[in-house]
Amino acid sequence: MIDTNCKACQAILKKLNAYLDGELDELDCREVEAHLATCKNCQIVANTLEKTIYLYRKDRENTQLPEDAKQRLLTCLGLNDEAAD
Amino acid sequence: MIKTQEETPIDLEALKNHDKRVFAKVVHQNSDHIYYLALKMLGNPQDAEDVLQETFIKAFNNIESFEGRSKLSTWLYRIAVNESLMLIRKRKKNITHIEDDIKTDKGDLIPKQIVDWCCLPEKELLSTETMAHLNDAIDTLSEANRAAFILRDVEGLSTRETAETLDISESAVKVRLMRARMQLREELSRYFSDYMAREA
Repeated sequence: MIDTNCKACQAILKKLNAYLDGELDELDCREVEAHLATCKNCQIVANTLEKTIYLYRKDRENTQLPEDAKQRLLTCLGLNDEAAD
Repeated sequence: MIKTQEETPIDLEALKNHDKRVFAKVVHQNSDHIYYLALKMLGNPQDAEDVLQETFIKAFNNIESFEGRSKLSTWLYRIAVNESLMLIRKRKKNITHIEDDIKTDKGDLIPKQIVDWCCLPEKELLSTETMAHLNDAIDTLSEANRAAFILRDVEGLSTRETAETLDISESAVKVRLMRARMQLREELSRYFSDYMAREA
């Protein structure tokens, strides 16, 4: 578990999401990176957090509206005769 | 990242005149995205299909009320989120607002699971079993956090678009997103920790 008493870890965790989203300024970014380089636990949290998002994006890529459901949608909207552009 | 919608411009004037060809174009460009959102919100293909149909029926019946201040896709997402929440509320009586979720956030954001599963081979990370667990994990989120996560992180909307869709502030989107991500990380870390122990 992360050391909840460690102020440096707490500060980094608060900035982690903004860091992953590329929303930190250069100074904060360097601070996060310097901490991650020395704190194994925070590094694991950052890496697994990033990987978690990655897995859901992969799931999204592999999930599509089934063709029969699409046909039922077009039928219910009365759009069967309208071709996809 | 998922391909953005509205690859080709929509003729709003024609859409408001109920031009079927333009309606069809809107459906073809957005149905896959709306279905995915509903599927992850509800966890059930049949319910997702119901929300998909209801979203487009409502959109087309109320197209005059679309003012064009946001993207059309954002407007459709908004209808779909509301339809999904209505269905969830029907399932769980007594929920009156998105903020009053039955599922509450699991408290603090302090990571508990410190397991490095990033080193697992891609094949194992993307196995059918893991993919099924992603659905179980997302189902543990409150509806509010789940919607923010799907829209922002998976569908790739900007923070501003997500805020518009959910009718909340951008800072509220960031808070929900952080809670969703951290909770999902915990759930997946727990799963992969067990998995790695089994495989060892």
